[in-house]
Amino acid sequence: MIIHVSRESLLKSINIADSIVSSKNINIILSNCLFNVSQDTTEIVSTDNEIAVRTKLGSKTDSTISFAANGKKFSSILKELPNDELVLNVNESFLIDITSTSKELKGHYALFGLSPGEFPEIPQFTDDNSIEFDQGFLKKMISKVMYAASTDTIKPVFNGIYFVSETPGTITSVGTDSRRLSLLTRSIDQEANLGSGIIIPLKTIHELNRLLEPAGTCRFSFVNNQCFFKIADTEIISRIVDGQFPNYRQVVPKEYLFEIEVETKKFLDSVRRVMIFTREPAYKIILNIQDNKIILQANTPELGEAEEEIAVKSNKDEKISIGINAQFLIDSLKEMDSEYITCGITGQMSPLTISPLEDRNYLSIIMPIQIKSSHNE
Amino acid sequence: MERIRILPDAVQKKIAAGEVVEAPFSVVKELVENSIDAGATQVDIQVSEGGLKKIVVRDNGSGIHHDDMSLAVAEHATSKIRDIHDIERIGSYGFRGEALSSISAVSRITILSRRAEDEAGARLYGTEAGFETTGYAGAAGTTVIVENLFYNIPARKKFLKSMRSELRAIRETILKIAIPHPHIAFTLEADDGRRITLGKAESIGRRIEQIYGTGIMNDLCFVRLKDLKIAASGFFSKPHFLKSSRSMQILYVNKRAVEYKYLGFIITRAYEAVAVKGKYPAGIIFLDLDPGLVDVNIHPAKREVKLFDRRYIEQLITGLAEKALSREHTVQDRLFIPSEAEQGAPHPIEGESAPERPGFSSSSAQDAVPPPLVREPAELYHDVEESKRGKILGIAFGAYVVCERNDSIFFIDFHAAHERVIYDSLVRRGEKFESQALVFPVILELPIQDHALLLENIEKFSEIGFDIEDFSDYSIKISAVPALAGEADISGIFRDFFTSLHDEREPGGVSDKIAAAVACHAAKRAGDRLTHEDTDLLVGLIFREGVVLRCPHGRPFVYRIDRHDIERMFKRS
Ligand SMILES: Nc1ncnc2c1ncn2[C@@H]1O[C@H](COP(=O)(O)OP(=O)(O)OP(=O)(O)O)[C@@H](O)[C@H]1O
Ligand SMILES: [Mg+2]
Repeated sequence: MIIHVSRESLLKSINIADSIVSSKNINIILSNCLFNVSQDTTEIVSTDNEIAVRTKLGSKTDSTISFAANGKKFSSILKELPNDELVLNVNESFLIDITSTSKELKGHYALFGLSPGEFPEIPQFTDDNSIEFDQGFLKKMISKVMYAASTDTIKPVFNGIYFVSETPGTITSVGTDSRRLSLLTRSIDQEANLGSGIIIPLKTIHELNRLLEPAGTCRFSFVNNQCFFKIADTEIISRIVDGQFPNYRQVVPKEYLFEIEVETKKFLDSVRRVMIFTREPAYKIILNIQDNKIILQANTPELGEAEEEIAVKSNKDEKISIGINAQFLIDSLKEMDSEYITCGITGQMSPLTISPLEDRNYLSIIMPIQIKSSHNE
Repeated sequence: MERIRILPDAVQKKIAAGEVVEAPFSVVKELVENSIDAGATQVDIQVSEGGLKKIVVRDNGSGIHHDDMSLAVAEHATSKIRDIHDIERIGSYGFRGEALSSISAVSRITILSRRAEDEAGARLYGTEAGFETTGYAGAAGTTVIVENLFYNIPARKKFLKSMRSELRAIRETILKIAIPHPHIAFTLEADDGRRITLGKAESIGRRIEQIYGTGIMNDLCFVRLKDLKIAASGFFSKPHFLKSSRSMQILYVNKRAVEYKYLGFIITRAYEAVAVKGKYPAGIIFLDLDPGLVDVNIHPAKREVKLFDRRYIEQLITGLAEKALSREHTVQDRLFIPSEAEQGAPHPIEGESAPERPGFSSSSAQDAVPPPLVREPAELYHDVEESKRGKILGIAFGAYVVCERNDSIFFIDFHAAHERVIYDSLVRRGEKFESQALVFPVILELPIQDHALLLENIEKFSEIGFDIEDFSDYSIKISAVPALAGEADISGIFRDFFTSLHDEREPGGVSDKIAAAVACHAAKRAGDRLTHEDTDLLVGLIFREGVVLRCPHGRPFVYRIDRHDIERMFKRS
């Protein structure tokens, strides 16, 4: 059976689908992509059993066929071919013969495919309760908080991003690894029915972040334990993390001991330099805040020490020393788009809250590191 | 007790003949065995001039019938067996009726004995002319006095070692015999004072503690296996506890210490994964089986026995050792004292070494210095050359750092090494701890008993960086964790902690157990991404002075192949 298809769009689609395929999958069929070819479209499907991708592209053929093929191999050869239309010839034993229509190239490439037989059934997008987002909007909701999510799968609730509509017309996304938390609330011009909120697994979040473009729209819906995203010609189907997201509002300080205003980039650069003199996993630096300045200090035995001073604007004449994970600070500061940030200080063992100067709806909360002395000396 | 009789000729011939009295320690062994056979609960031994001048063994056992005194020193006279069939099922140490007669042939012997039920006992003593017997009305029990040993065979005397090493051999003989008899009290007095005082102990384990020091149970664990025919049990080294001789490898068959040439081999093989060449794990093993299944009548000094099925016994011992090894092990405190022992470091000089502790090196007396019992195996500490952390060649199988250093290649188990480094920094006393506060405190529900235990030890948790409060209904609230723990699984830490706390065999205090649990969860695991920096840092840390090259559970994490081993491999040298 002969299929005519653009090399560029086939390559792009295979890459989208293949990105979630794990080469380590023990189920052989799942290390392949499924190709469903009909008269004028080719649908490429992949899954790792937790998340599935279904993407479509235009193609021409006179009948229908389904086959599975290794996405990585397929895309490797496509990548090396000139950008002319391709002719794929798939026979009954799923041998995929790839020919470029380029005049420059005389070649023959045949890729062994597989029967699509055992490929699992992937649910179809449901339009019920669907919400329409701007892609750029959703991308921000994700990218501004995802860094704070836990990469550790022991606590599944933290290994994802929580979306909830706290008040009608708003949507909030939250990420946390239990030592820090990031929270973004934005208004939308529609009802977002998210029930008591849903937790989308981090892997899905990364996939979305890659697919979402600054412009265009996307649709979102969910049923039971599954959620769906439709972004241009691609659908993402993902499981929802089962479990109760903790009460994050309770964590957000209602008032601060005092607040300081810092120039974002200066602060970030300082922390980066001082952090060199810290060690994982604590990356501990000390922020000594007083007299309209922060003195950043790091001191690690057998490594070295650093000290830097930057000017800040404080709303009270207070002084405090806080130990903090420099990596967390960097992660937060990197996402602050404004020239200045405010830092709300609540105490030595209480959260440090960072926000863009004029935007209290985007919060980054970092729990400090306290230095305790052992008693049994 | 049975009366003594002369064994029939046919039986005499069946008995393995040969030399009974090799050296003073053999006299002691025979006499003490007789006392134990007589049901004594107190055995006191006195030795003068390494046993050559005088050996006295006094017991409170059954005593000898006054009419039997001369039979006791007669050849082939015993009260313990009667006929051929008895040879096949010997339940006592003695059976040949040979010991006293052999001893009396090479010394001046005196036996004082009275049975508790008799008013008067008898005193037998050897003279030039023969034995004489008189009455005796001393305490019930038997005292055997052996004087001027080998007076009549000067050639033998020449072969003996120094008095000091003869005395050491005697001491070792007594200790070895004392282990399986915790209910019997033993004392040994030499010319210059008390050498052994072993009061009655309630168990073999306690007896081993009396001998090797109370801390020994931190280094050993007890295991047992049982089937229809045999009950096998033993005290085996935890992985960290290796000795430079086989002195703590003893096999008892029905309480008789026997030489079994495969024993060392079997134990070493079982410990292959943790033992280092030239280092030996301890294995004090007891096999108890029907006497019919053991032939003790194959060696004149009864040092060897024949077991009914060698393969089976080997499997049993291997099984015991493996069982001991698969236990969870934690390193005890004293591994953290700074290293003094280095490879090739001078041996401690006798007398200067650790405080005098009784112990034995091997069954035969040797001039060698007995290995100090509580010294650190040297290779637990690394030879230090701080400046050279070596060149990291790469990571094998995502888990093992391969590193070239000082003409050797090192293989380092990253997870275990990381565990050690974290553990060490947690247990370092008097340090400041970094405590990471949590956005969402972790609430843990605990069994009632664990909850109480935890509240008791809450201080110890806080010293390491935890912030824990009693919550409600047997749950606790953890609002800060040691910063070193990173993103570790907190409930996992507590689960492991309680497991090790409840395991009485596990040594170490509560704080050490907390630290070990934290270290285990915080350390990177095989499969975690390891950056070059991570490995470089870790390798630098572990090659510092004083770092114990074993994970907190006792597994070694560094193996080394020397350049000349590799050259030999390629037949270049
Ligand atoms: N301490 C003792 N208390 C009571 N009886 C003893 C004691 N020592 C020896 N006897 C008696 O003397 C006998 C002879 O002792 P001896 O040690 O010579 O032979 P054995 O113990 O029977 O056999 P073997 O020499 O093979 O150990 C014993 O059988 C026992 O009846
Ligand atoms: Mg005897």
